[in-house]
Amino acid sequence: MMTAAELQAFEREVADAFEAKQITAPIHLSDGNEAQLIAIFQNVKPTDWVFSTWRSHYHALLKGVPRDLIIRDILAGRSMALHFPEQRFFTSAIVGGTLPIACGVAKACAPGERVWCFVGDMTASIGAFHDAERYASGYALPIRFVVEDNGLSTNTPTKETWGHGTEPVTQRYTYTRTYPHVGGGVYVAF
Amino acid sequence: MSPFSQAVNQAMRKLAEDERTIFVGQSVAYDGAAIHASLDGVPMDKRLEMPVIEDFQVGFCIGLALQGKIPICIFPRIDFMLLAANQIVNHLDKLPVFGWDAKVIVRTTVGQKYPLDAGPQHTQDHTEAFRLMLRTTHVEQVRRADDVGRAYDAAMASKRSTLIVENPS
Repeated sequence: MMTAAELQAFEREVADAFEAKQITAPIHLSDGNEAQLIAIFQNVKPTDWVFSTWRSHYHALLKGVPRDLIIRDILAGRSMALHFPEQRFFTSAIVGGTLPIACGVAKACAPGERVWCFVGDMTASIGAFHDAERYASGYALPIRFVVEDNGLSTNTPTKETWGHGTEPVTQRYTYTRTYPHVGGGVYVAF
Repeated sequence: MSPFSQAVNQAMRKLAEDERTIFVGQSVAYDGAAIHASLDGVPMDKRLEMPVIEDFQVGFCIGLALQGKIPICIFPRIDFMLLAANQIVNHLDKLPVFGWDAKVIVRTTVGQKYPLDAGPQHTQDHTEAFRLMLRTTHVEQVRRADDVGRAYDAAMASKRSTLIVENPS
């Protein structure tokens, strides 16, 4: 398992390469969450799957993807799309993009395997997360969603965008329908 | 059952013979819609009924495919697939680009206007729009019963994903 200092040194190396114009694609660097991730990855096995985002260097390193492979892909301009099938490491640069994919992988996991899906706090507040969390919970899928909450969506304060009110706005009633989904219940040959 | 519907049902039964296939969508396990009838003869343990969450459904199928399955991802109408465009365009179509060896067969229909006209949100044909957005996914619209079996055979033989739009003429 890499140490916090080694993780930080990796990101510094990437930043230096970017600032030296050796990388001609966007990079998204991590810092400040080394201890949390190192603790989480103590429970991630080599046979587990890890789903990450456009900010994925730490996750890839801690999953056990060889450092030189990660650097190779970052230098090639693929920082936002690191994929390592051999290590079962998948990312998406689309907000919430990995959520259903992670659920599908979890549905077909072999006994003892687990899926880890890392998302930001904005992703955790959108409909795609609601869908994935409800389905995964409903079917007790072997998956763990990890919300990495820095309070920001890119540079926007996540909570400010949603508002702070808690006003009830939904009403529900129940009923039973006797008609089928379509038609009146009798076959008609038009 | 029309010759076209018979051809589709035959194709579904053939797909079901491969142990890797799984049929995913709405009305695949519960009766009351044309999709269900098209799967007549497909074993129930190969069907996975989904909530109505189109984008999730495609993503979920991608996940199954990453695990070695060949999902048949079914939508009753191509109109509804606009809600799944993110997973289809940004993820399914990019699997080969990202180095993943996995595929999904997406199956849908164009709603008919005769003898019943299902209206402006159930009769659109977005086949060309999807064709323009997709780079690695094969898009095929089948109009004749004779073409149905060949289209699904080709989808099974391909290493890439396929979108098949059933639109009987």
